[in-house]
Amino acid sequence: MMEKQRLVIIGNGMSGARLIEEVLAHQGKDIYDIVVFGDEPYGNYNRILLSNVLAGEHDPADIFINPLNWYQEQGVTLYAGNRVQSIDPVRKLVHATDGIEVPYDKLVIATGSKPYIPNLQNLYAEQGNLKTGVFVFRSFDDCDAMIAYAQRSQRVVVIGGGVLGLEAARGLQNRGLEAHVVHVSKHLMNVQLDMSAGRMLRLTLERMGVKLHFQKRSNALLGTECVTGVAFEDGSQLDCDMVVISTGILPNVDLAKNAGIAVDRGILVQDDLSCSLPDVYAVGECTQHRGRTYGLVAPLWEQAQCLAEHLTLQSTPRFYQGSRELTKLKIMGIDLAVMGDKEEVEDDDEVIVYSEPSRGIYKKLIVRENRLAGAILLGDGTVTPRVLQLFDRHEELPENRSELLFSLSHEQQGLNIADLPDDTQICNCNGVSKGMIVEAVKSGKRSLKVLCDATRAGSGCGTCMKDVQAILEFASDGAVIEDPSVHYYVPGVPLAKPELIKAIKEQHLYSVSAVFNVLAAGKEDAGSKAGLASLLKTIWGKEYEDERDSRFINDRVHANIQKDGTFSVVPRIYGGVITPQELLRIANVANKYNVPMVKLTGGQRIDLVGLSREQLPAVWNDLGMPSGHAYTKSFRTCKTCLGTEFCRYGVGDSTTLGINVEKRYQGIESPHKMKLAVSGCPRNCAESTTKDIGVVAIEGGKWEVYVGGAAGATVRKGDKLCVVDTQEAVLLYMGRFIQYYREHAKYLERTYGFVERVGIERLRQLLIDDVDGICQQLDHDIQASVDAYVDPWQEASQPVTPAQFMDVLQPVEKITAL
Amino acid sequence: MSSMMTSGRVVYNLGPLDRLPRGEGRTFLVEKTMVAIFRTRKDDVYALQAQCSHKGGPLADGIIGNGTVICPLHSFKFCLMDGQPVGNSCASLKTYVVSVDEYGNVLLQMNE
Amino acid sequence: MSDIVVTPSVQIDSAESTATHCPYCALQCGIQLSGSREQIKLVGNKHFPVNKGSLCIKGWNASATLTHSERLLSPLIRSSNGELEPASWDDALAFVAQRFHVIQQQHGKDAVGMFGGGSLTNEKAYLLGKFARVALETSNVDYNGRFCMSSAATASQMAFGLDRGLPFPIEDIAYTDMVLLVGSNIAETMPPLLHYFGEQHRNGGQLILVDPRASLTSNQATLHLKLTPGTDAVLANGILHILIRDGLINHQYIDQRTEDFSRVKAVAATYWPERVERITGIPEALIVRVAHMLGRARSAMILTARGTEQQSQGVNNVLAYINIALALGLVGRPLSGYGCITGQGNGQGGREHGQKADQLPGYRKITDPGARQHIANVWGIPEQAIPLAGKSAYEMLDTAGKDGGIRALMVMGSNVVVSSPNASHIQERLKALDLLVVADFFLSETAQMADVVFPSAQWAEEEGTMTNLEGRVLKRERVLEPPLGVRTDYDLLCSLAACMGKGQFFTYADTQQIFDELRRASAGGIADYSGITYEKIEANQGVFWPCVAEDHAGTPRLFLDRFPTPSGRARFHAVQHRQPFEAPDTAYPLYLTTGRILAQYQSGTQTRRVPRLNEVASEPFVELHPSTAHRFMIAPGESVRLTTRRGSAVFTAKVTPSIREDTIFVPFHWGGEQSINRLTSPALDPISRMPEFKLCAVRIERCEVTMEA
Repeated sequence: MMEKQRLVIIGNGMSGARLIEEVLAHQGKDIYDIVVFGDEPYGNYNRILLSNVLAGEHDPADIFINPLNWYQEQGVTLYAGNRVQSIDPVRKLVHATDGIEVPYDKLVIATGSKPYIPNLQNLYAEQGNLKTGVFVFRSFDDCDAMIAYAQRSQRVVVIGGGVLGLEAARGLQNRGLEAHVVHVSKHLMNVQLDMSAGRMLRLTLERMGVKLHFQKRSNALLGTECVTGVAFEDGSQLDCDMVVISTGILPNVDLAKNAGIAVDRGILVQDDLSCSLPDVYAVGECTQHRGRTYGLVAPLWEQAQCLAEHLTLQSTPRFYQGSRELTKLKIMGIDLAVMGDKEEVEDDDEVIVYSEPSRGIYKKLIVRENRLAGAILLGDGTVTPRVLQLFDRHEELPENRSELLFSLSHEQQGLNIADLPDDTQICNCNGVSKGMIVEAVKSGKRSLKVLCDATRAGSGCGTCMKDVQAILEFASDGAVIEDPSVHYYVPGVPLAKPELIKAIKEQHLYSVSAVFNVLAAGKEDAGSKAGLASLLKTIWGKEYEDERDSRFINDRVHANIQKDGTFSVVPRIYGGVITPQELLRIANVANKYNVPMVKLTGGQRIDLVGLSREQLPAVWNDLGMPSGHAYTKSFRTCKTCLGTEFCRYGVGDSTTLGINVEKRYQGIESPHKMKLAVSGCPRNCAESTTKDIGVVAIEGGKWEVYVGGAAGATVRKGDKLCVVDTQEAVLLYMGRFIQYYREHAKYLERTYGFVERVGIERLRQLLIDDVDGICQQLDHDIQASVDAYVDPWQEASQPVTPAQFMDVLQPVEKITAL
Repeated sequence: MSSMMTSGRVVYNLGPLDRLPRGEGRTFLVEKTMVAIFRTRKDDVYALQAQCSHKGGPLADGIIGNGTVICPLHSFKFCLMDGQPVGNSCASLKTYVVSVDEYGNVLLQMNE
Repeated sequence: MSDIVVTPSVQIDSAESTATHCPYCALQCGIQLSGSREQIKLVGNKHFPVNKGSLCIKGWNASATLTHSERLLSPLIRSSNGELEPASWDDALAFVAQRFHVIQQQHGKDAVGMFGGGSLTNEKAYLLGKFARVALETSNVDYNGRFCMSSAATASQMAFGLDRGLPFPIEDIAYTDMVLLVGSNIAETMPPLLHYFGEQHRNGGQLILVDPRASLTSNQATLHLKLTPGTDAVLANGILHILIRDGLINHQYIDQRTEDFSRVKAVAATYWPERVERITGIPEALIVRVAHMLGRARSAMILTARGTEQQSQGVNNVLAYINIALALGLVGRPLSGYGCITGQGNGQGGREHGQKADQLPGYRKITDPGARQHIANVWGIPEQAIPLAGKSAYEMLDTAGKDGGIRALMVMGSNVVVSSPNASHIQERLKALDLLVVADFFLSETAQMADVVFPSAQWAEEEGTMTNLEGRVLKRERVLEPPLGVRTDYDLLCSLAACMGKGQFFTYADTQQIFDELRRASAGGIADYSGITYEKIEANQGVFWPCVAEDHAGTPRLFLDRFPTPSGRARFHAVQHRQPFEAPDTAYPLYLTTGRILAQYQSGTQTRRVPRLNEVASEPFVELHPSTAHRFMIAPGESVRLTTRRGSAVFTAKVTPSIREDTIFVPFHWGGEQSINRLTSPALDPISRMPEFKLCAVRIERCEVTMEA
C-alpha cells in the first residue's frame, strides 16, 4: 500500500463535487486524502434546480446533493466559504483566505464561471456592489435574495432573453410580478434557436403573459437608492422596481492565469483534462477543451468522470472527447429541447421541418451524412427522447424521417372478430383459434361459460374473454344465453323482469331516465334503453313518459334503417286487402320520390326502400295510410288467406278476422316482433302454424289458436293454445297471450323461445283456466294499450324533436380563430 | 428543404344547444366533413366522425348512454370522449373539440 | 359482462380425484388429477384461491411429461466406448460414491460440487444442502436460483431484513389502486395471475408497466414505459425526484418506520427529469405523470421481475424501486407494498432451506455462529464440521476442472448447459470435469454430457412441499407410483449418502419426516416453518410463513408494525446509475435482451417435450423493430445471425413494432445451437452474483452476408 497523496480540488460546485463522488466511486480513497475548497458556506447543491426554486416549484431544502456532514462521512476535508486566492505551482500548494495553506500532489481547478455583467451606467451602489433591486441569477444566495426582494416588487425587467433569463422571468412572474424581458437580438434564445422557433416561443411566452422587448440594448439603470427602471440606447426606458441581469457567463480563469497556467477564454485542457502545468487539472465551466467551453451539467459530469478515471489510475481510463449538448427550457407548460446545430451548416445538410403555429409546435431536424447534427423540438415532448438518443449515439437515422417527428402509437389495430380468419389465435394462453370457438358455438355451446369450459379459451389469463364473447355473439346470430346476468331483463339494471316490473310499478317510474336514476344509481346504459322503453310502455300505456333518446333510430323516425343510412317505408295494409286507390297512391309516391326499390313483403305488404329521412314526412302524407310498423319490436302484420268470401274451400272468414286482428293489435310494443296469420281452412295457406300467433279455421265454425310458431332462423310449429267458437274469442285469447308475453318474456325473446320456456300446458292453465286469476288484469291491460295506440306517422305534421327528419344540419357561422 | 406547414384552426358555431334533442345525436356537414354531435341528458356535448369505422354506420342515429354510443347498424360500441372502441376491435374514431359557449351556442373546433 | 372471468368446471368427483399443484411456475396453480397414468385427467382446482381453476396451456398439458416416451427408466453410466448405457441402481450408486471418494481424497472435499434447482421441493432443497455439507462435507453447493431470483432476494434482505416474494396474498392485487410492474410479462409467464390485474382494472385500479418491449401484458396496462435497457435505477430515482419535488412523499412514515432517507433524497436531487429523460428515453411528461399516479394513489404496489433483476445492477435497480415504495410509505400498509414476481416453481422455498452457498435452512446466514450451532444440533454434527460459504453458481461452474476448482459435480433439477449465462463456456468447463452426475427425468442437454445419469421421479410421483411466490407453503401429492426403475431424488440422496458411509444422518421413513426435520432446522430462522404441518397445509389451502408454532395461523401479510431488521426499521439505500457491463458500440450496435414465452418453461427440458406446446412455439426467434430491420436490411422470416463478444447463433427474424428500435429480443428456452445464453454476458451483480441476462451488446446480420464474409 503506497503512501497516500493529497488531492486538492478548488471549487465545490456541480463539477467539483461530482469529481469527488466519481473519485470515491473508483476507490480513490485508497490513493488520496481529498481536500476541497468552496466559495459558498454550504455543501453542494444542484444548481440546475435553482430555476424551479425561484418559480416556487421546488423546496430549496430538497436540492442539496452533498450536505456538509456528507463530506465528514466520506472523510473529505471541506473548506466551505474559504476562497483560494493563489496557487503556487512550484511549491505545489494553494493559499486560501484566513491564511490557510494546503500542499497538493494533484490539483484540480473547478472554479466554474461567473455571470457576465454588461457595463451599464448607474449599475453599482457606492460600496461597489450592485444597486439595491439589481440581481444576477447564479447562486443559491442570488436565488434566495431574489425571492425575498420579489415580495416587495411589482415589476421586474430581465436583461437577456436567453434560457436563464426566461426561466428567471417566468419564475418571478409565478411570484406575482409583471415580468419584462429585454433582449438585444431579434428573437429569443438566439444562441440555440432559429428565427421560426424563436418566434413561436415568443408567442407561447406572450400567451403566458411575459412581456417581451426585442432589439433593445440597455445602457443605464435608473434610480438612486433602489433601481426604478432601465434606459435603452434608443432613448426609451422601462419603469420597474427589480432588475435581473442574465447576459451570459464567463469562465473563472483568473486564479489559473495568475499561476501561469495557459488560458484562453477558459483554462486550456487536454483530453485527460490536464492543464499546461504538471499535476494540475481542470474540469467544468472554467475549462476550454478543443476550443469549446461548456455551460451545461452533462458535459461537466462527463469531464469529471474521465478525470476521476485518470486520477484513480484505472487500467483503461476514458479520454474526454467533447460533449453533445442538449438545452432544455425549464418552464412549466413549455416543452423545448434543443441539441446540436440550429441551422444547416454544410451545403448538403438535409433539413426537415414541421410547424404548427396554432398549437405552438415546431420541430426541426438537421441531418448530416444520415446522422442527426441538430434538432429543435418545441411543443411536443413525446418525440424528444428518441431524437435525443439518436443524437447522443450518433446513430444512423431511419429512412423515413417522419418516424422521428411524430410519436406513432405502436398498438396494432385489430380487425373485427367477424372479419378475422378462422386460424387467428384468440386465447393466447391456451392457443385456441377463432375457428375452434366458432365450431364449439355451432355445436351448441351458447353460453360464455359453457363455451369457455369446452374450448379452454379464457381459462388462462382471462383477457381474451371480450373476444370470445364477441365471437359467441357473431357465431350464434344473437341467440346467446348471456351470463352471469342471464336473469337481468336488460344488462344495465341488475334486476330480473318480475322484480324490475315490481320496482317500476311500486316506485312509479314512468320514464327510462327515472328507471336509471332510481334502479341503476343514475348510470344510464345505452344497451338497456330500448328494452326499458318497450317495457315501460307495456306497463304504463298512456301514462308512459316517452323519451325519444331511448328509442332505436327506427322508432325515432318510424322507418327501417338500411345499410346506407336510408330508410324503408311499409304502409299498413289490413289483412293484406287493398283498394286500387291505395295501390295508385303507392305507385305515385314511388314515382314522385323515385324510390330505388319497390318490394312485396312476406307479410302481404308493399315496401318502399331507399328513402332519405327528409322525404319520410312527405311520403307518409302522400300515402295517406297508417304505419305498418315494419321497423319495430311490436305486432307487425297479420297474414291471411282468401277465406270464405271467394275460396271454394274456406270454412272461416279469415280476411275479416285478419283485418280485425290487425286493426286491434297494430303497433303494440313487445319484447320482440310478432308476426301473425289467420287461415280460413286447415290447408293453412296463411302458414298460421309457423307464426308467433296463428289462427286456423276448422269445421263447425271453430278456430284453432296456435302460439310460438316460427319460420325464420329457427323453425318451429306453434303449440295449440285453444280452440274457440267465435272471432271475438280469438281476439280475446290472442290479447291475453300477447299481454302475458309482453309482461314475462325476456327482452328480444321471440315467442317460440318464450312458449318453449314457459310450456304450453302452463300457458293453458294461466290463460285459459285462469288458475292464477290474472286473466281479468291481462284483458284490462292489453285493452289499455290498444286504446293508447296512435299512428306514429301523424308526427309527419309536427316533428317531436328538433330536426327529427333531417339528414344533416349546417353550422350557422364560421369563426376563424387566432 | 422539405417542409410541412399547416394553417390555423377554425371554430364553427353550430347554433343553439336546442338544435340537439336531449340524449340524441345529429349529423352536421361542416364544410366537407361530416361530424356527429351528441348532447347527453346531462347536456354535455361530444363530437365524433359521423360514420363508424366498421361499416360506415350513421353514428348520430345511435343510442347513447354512460359515455358511449351504439352504432345503429351492427351495435358496435364506441366511447364518446375519445372515440375508442368499447368491447370490440374497430379502429378508433376521430374526435373533435366541441363546447357550449356562454350564449348557449355549440362551438366546434377543427383544423382546416 | 363481456369480460367476466370464467373458469373451467369440467366436473371431477373429488372423491376419486386428488388436489395437487402444477409442476411449473411459482404460482403453483391448484389442479386436480384423476384416472390412471395413461388416461390421467387434469383440470384446474376451482377451490384453490390462487388460480380458482384457471390454468395456462403449460398447466393443461402438464401430464404429458408423465408418460413421455423419452423418459429415463434406469440409471445410465458412460461406458468405455463413450456411450451412456443402462446400469443397475446399486452399480450406479456404488460407482458415484467411489468416484466422489477418490476425487475428494486427491483434491480435497471442496472438489465435489452440488448444483440444485428452484423447482425442487422444499424437502429436496433441504436434503440437497444437508447432503452437500454432511455427506460430501463440501462448501460448493449452489443452485440455478442464482440465475433467477437472487437480486430481488438480496435487495429485500437489505431493505426489509427479509425476503419473501410477495409480502401480501395475491388477492390484494385486485383491490389496490395502482400497480407499477417492472420488467415482467406475466401475461405469458403466469397467465392466471393476470386475472387479479383484470379484477383490479374493473375495480378502477390502474397498471403501469416498465419494459423495453410491448407484450401481451402491456396491452393490459394504462401506461407502458419503454425504457432504455439497463436504466431502471435512473427511472426509479427520477420518479422519486418528482415525488419529493411535488411533496408527495410520506414524511411521517419515513420518520417512524425507515432509516437513511437523507442520502437517498440527496442522490435523488441529481436525477432531475431532463437528465432522466435523456438516459431512460422516456418523455419527461410521462415520468411526471407516473410519479403523480403513484404519489396520489390511496394504495399502490411496486412489483419487479427478471427484467430489472437480471442485470449487473440488478440489486441496485430493485433497491431503487424499493426506495420509492418506502418514500411513499407503501410497505406494510393495506393493499400496498413492494413485491417480487418469483419465477420458478419453488424459487421461493428453494432459496430458503440451504441449497445456497452462503446459507443454511430457515434462510439463515452460514456465517452466523448461532445459526451454525442450531443447524449442527439438528443434524447431529459438530458446528465446525459445517463448511463455510462456497462459490456462487456461475463462479462454481466456472472453476470446473481448474486447479482448486471442482473436479466433480452433481446436478439435480437443473439444465445448466442451457440456463446459465455464457452457456457455451460453461459447457466447455463441464467437459473438463472428472465426473459429472445428473439426476433428471429426461436426457437434458446437461445429462447428455454426464458420466452418470439417475432417473428421477416426476412431480406427480412424489410428495413434498412447495412455497409459492406469496410465501404460501403448499403440498404436492404423490398421485402415481414412479415407473419401474425410477426412484425419487430423496431416495437417491439418502442411498448415495449410505454408500458413502453417512447413512446414519439420512434415515427417513417418509417425506414427512424430512419436512419435520426441516421445520426444526428452520425454527427461529427468518423463514420459520416450525409451525407448519402437512395436515395444516391441507386444511388451509396452504400456510404463509413465518409460522412459528402449530397453533400459529401463519403470516399472510408482513411488516404490519415492524421490520425484521436490528432497528425494526426498513432501510433506504442510495443508488447511483452505473453503465451496464456492455453498451452498444459500432461493432455491436444493438442491445440484446432475453426472456420467456408462454408455451415454454425455463430451459425447456419439460415443455419442449410436450407436443401441444411445440405446436404453439417450436423454435426460438429474434424480435426486432421494423426500422431496425430496414437498417440492417432484414426481411421478416429471414434467418439472421446474432453475434456478441461470446459467440454467435442463427435465429428467424420476427419483425414487430412492439420493441424498441435499439433493442432485439430472443427467448431462451432452447438448447444447443439455438441457445441464446451462449451469447449473453457473464457479468455478475457485485452483491447478488446475478448474471446480466437482460442486456448485452449484439450485432445482427443476414445469414447470406456472413457466408460471403
